[in-house]
Amino acid sequence: MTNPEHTPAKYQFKAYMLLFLIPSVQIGVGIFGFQRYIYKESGHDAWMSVILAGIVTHIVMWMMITTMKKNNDDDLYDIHRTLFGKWIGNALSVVIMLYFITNMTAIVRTYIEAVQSWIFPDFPTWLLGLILVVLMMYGSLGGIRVVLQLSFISFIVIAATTILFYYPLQYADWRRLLPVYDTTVQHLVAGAMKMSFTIAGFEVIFFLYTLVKDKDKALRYAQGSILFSNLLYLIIMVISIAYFSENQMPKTIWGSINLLKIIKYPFLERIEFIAIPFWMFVVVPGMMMLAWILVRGTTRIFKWNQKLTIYGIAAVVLIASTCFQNRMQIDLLNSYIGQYSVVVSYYYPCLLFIMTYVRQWWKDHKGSKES
Amino acid sequence: MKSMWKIAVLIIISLCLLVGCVGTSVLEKLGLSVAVGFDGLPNNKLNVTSVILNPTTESAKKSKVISTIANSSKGARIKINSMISHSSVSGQIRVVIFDDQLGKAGVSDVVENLTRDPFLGDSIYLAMSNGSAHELLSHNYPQIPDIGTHLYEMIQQHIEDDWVPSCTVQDYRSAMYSIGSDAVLPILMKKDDRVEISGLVLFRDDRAVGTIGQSEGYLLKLLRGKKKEYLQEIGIDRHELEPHLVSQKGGKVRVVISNIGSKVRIRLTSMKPLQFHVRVHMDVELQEITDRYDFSKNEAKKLIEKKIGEELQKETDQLIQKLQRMNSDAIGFGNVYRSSVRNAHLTRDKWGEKYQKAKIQTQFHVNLIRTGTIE
Repeated sequence: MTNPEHTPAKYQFKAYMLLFLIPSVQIGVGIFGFQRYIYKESGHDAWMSVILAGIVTHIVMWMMITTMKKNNDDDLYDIHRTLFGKWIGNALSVVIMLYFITNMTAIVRTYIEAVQSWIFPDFPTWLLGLILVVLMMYGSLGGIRVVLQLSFISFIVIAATTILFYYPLQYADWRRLLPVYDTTVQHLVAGAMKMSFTIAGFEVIFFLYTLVKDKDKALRYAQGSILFSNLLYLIIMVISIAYFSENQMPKTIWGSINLLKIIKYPFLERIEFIAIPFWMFVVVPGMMMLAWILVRGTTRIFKWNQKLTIYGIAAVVLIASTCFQNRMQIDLLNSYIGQYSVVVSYYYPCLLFIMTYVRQWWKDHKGSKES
Repeated sequence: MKSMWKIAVLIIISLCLLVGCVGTSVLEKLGLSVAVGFDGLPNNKLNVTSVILNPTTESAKKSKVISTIANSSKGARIKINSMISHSSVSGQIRVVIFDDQLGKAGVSDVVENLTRDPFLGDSIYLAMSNGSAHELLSHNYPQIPDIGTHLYEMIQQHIEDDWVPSCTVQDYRSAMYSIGSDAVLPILMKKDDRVEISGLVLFRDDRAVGTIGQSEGYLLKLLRGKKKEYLQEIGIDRHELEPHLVSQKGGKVRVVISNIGSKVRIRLTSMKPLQFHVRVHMDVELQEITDRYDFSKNEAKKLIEKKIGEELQKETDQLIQKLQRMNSDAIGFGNVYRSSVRNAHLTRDKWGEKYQKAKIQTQFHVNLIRTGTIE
């Protein structure tokens, strides 16, 4: 078992860097068209669902970090072993890794789908997939520092893109947000559940926390990073509700790209043709991060060669993503991952949190009996 | 040696990945269409007219017009492609026009397929032509070198500074797909050797149900809450302004006002029977009066404010009644209803029934800020 104390200082980073790392994993392809799924559930109160999902995420983030603090700052692979023993613990780690690799496939394929349906309809899937996967290999071979630097760029791209969303506001009809709370709690919750594919990714804190230098500040910055992505989702959701009319929203597959479609500058008439390729800066660091986590897992559990594992992961992601042929399959994949990520990112951390406390109580109980 | 190999492999891979991945579009080889016209024909056929920017620099005309009869708009593009030396692309389309036949039959097929294509922006202007769109586009206007760009600039100018409400694809689709409002588009009319915007066409769902003129269009845009400075001429009966009129002529007194700022508030006052109250507060500047009026007294100013308000109110009431008769909710009372009633479960059909029975009161409050540089 590797002790965090043994992590060399050059692999550690300051807590504030979580601000860039976590949103770069969270914000990826889900943001292209998350609006209509939530709108279908909670109507024009969809923004409340976004807030609800955000609040729950903040709570879960607190649970995750508390769980790790209780388990002497270990990462998830070690926590699994501590809580479940070697065999079951490793099996659970493998399940998590499978989830991550499916997630990567979904990211790659959805991004390629966006490029194909908006810019180059005849762009071969494998070619763009190859480009993404090569970039991913480069980043994860370089280690966490390369990922960190790229996610800083992605943070800037995200922030810059947000400014563009002021333009659709001149077509906004704010009455569409009224009456506030015209739905039921069940619908709000169902809408919040649909946020999962978009909001998931913050579970990487389970693997990053060990590397944070100043751990006392980690919680603050982790919450801050979630707040950033939540606010971004909320802003886009509110603008979308005001921009699209009641029956128009469910027809819009790529809500956020459609918002950019109305923007027109004299020197640049179609901003989305630039925004989509630029979004690669946002998609790639997230993938690098997931690959890096996967490699950490395989070296820890199976003692595999790191380089070969990364090539293997790249090959699997590339082949798997070319298997998805059309929009329907991609949509299905994303909705499945959405459902799984509710389990992995929300229910499962709660379980770990409870188990950690139970284990501690059990230890204390036994300890007091013996003494 | 090993690093040499590495570099070689890297160069080969980047050559494969970065060089000419995607089909290129050379500008000189493209036929950029700027405006497209659709004419409805029997048997669901379309007569599609495309205005293509002329790539040959020597010719005097800046654009050429090609038309064809096809079953779908993309089918027409295939046929048009076979008629020109360049490949026709639609990324620069700025105006889409359809004729009144198609307007009456429903235009959503055409508009929906415009949005389906990612190469067409949402800020394309839609308009209806009074008469055939083909004729409007293909006529040889001596004054206009490029009809496509001309129409685009004309509509844009009217939207930005004048009485035409915004008529982009997004505006149209957003109204068509909303529960409580209907789309409005401008009407283009060919008059001898020029084109003019003759009025607005009102929609119910995706079908044109009626038209209104320019002064009604002004009020409609005002009620839709777009604040812009534009002029409006109002006629007031002479005897109503009698006490402060200096000269004694016959006929109506014409007053031209400019709207400096306006606030529109539409409220749902009662559910059963359905009643709305429209309150408009306008700051106006007097631009012209066709008579000599004594503005020096305060009562005189008050009187003319009141009379302008009454006149506007009368015209607005007529407009709203007209809209209700046509069952076209261009002002968006349905949106007001939907946004102020909880658990309304309003649908388009339900609102259509309710709307025609609704009682709508209007009230204008006009504030005359100045009378120009003289009194």
